[in-house]
Amino acid sequence: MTPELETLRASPFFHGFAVEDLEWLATRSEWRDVETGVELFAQGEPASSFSLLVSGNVKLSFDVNGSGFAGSGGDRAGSGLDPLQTISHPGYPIGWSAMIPPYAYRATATAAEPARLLTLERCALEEHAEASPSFGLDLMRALITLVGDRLRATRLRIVARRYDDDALAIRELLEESGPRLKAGSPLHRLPHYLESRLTLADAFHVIDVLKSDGDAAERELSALCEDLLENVRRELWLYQSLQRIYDSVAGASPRLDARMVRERNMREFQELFRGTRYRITGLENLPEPPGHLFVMNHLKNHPENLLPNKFILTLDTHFVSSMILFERYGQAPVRVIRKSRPDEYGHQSFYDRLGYVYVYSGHVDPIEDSATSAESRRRLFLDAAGSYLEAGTNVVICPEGTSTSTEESPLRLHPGAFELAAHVEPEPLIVPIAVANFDKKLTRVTTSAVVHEPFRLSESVRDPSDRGALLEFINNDLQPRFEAWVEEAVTLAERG
Amino acid sequence: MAERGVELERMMEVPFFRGLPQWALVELAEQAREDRLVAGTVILHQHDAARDVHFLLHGAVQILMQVADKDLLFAVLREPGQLIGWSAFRPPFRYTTTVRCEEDSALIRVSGAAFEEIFERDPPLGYEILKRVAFSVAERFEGARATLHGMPRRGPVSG
Repeated sequence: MTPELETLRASPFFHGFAVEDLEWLATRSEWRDVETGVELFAQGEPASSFSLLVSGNVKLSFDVNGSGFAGSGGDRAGSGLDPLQTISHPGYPIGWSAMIPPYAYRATATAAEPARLLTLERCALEEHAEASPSFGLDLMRALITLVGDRLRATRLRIVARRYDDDALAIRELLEESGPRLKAGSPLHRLPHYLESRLTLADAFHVIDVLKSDGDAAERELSALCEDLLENVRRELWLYQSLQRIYDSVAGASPRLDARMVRERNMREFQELFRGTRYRITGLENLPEPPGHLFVMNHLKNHPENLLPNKFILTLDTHFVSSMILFERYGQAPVRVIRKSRPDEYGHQSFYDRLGYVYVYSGHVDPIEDSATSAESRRRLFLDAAGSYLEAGTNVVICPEGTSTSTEESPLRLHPGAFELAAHVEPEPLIVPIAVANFDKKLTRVTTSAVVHEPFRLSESVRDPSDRGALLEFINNDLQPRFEAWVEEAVTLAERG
Repeated sequence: MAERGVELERMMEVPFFRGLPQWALVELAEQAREDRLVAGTVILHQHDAARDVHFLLHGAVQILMQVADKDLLFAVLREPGQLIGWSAFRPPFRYTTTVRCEEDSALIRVSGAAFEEIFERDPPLGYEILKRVAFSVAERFEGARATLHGMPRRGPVSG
C-alpha cells in the first residue's frame, strides 16, 4: 500500500469509500510540506484543491469584513483575522470549498506549525466523479456530512457565547450524541472539567487522548469538542501564561536586580499579548528620549484571570508597559502601584521584585504608621518616582487611583500624578494613553491603546502648588478630554 | 394542508429544481407535496427522523435549536427556494434543528426516499443534486459563522 493510499484510507472523511476509488485518488494526489506561517490559501481565492492534513497544525481564520486587515504607519495591531478553528487531527479535510460552489475558499488557512498535507486537485475529483458516479455520490455525501458538522459546531459555539457557557454547549453536543457514546467514555467528564479553570487542562487532555485513541464516536466527538472549545483552549493558554509570568517574577533569582526582572517581565508579556487581538495608534506621539510620565485610565481585571494565589496581574498597565513603552524604548518602565495590604502576599511578592514605586491608598500599615505620616508617605512617593524620571526612566501611573470597566472609564482623575510631574526637574512630559477592553476576556475581544499628544503641566497650570488651579485643569480640561480619548479607544477596538 | 403531487411549474419556482432533466422533475413532482401552513406550525422537530426535505415557496420559517429547556432562535429563512431538512441526505438522518413557521408559509415537501430513487437511477444526476444540497448547507454554515462573529457577548442570536 502506498503512503498516499494509506493516508486516504485512514482519513475519517474517506471512511466507507470503495478501495478502488481511493486507489485511483492516491495516484492523483500530491504531498505538500509547509513551514510555520505559510498561508495555504486565502479567503476568497479560487478554490482549486482539497487537502487532508497528515501532520502538523493548520489554523483557519476568517476576515469578518471580507476585506483583509491593512495597518498604517504609526499604527500597530495584532492579527486582523478572527480565528475559526485549529486543525490538528490527521486525516481532517482542509479546503472543502474546492468541491462546493462558488468554488472560492471560505476562510484563510495558515500553517500554525510545520505541516504535511495530501492534496487533490478539484479537476481530479470531478474527473473521477464523472468516471465513477458512485464515488461522486459518496464524495458529496461526505461533504454534506463535513459541512453539516461545521454548521452544528458553529451553532453550538453560538450557544456557548450566548450563555457564556462552553460547558452547556458541550453538554448539548454529548446529549445529542448519547446513543453513540459509551457510558464509560471519558468524554462525559468534559462538562465537569469545564466548570473550573483549575481542571481545564484535564478537559483538553481527555480530548487530545481520545482524538487519536478513542473509538470512532469518541474520535469524531472529541474533534468537535476541540473545535467548540477553541476559545477555551486559548483562555487556558492565556491563564497558564499569566501563571508562568507571575512565577517568573516572584521566583526570580536574587542575583537579578529589579531592572533585569522588569525587562524579562516585559518580554514575557509581549509574547502573551502577541497571541491576542489588539490595536495601537498614536505611536508617533511617543517622545524621545525616555524619562516621561505616562498617564492612563485603569481598567479592572476579568475575574477569570485570578491566579490560584488570589492575585490578578493588571493587563492594561502591562500592555502599555510592554507593547508600547518597552517596544519603543527598549527600557522597562517603572509603574506606580498601590501598596499591598498585609494579606496580599501574591501582590507584594510580585511588585516588590519589580522595584515599582508604591503609593499608599487607604490602607495604613500600623507598624509603619508609627514612624510616618501621610505627608511623609507622599514625599517618599514623589522622591522615589521622581528619581526614576530624573534618571531617564519612564514612569506609568493611573491617576484614577482605582480601576473600573471600559464602559465606566475614566473615573475621576486625582492630582497625585500631576503633582509628581511638577516635582521633577527638568519637568517631564505627560503622555496620555487611553485603553479599552482589558477588563474583558482577552481571547474574545480586541483591546486597544491610543497614545495622545504629550504636554507639560506648566503649559496649562502656571503654579501647580495652587491646588485650586491644578484641580480646575484636571477636572474641567483634562477629564473631559480623557473621556473622549477612552471613547476613541473603544471605537478603535470595535474596528477589530 | 398537503396536496398530492405538485405542478411542474410550481416546482420550477424553486431554483433548486431548475436545470434538472424532465424525467427527474416529473418523478419528483409526482411524489412531492405542497404544504400550506399557518404561523406557528412546526415543520420538523430536532432529533426526529429526517425523512423529508422541504423547499420554501413563500413565507418565513425559524430555525431553532433546543438548549436545556429553551428553543434558541438561530435564523429566519425568508428567501423563496431555501432548502430545509438537509439531514435527510446524510447519516444519521436526524434533523439537527426544529423549524417552525414564523408566518403563514407554503413549502414543497419531497421525501428523501424519492431523491434516493433518482440517485440510484442516475448517479451522475445524483452527484449534481447533492452538490446543490452541499451548497445550501455551506450557505447555512456561512450564515451561522457570520452570526457567531458578529454577535455581542449577550443578546439574541437570530441571524
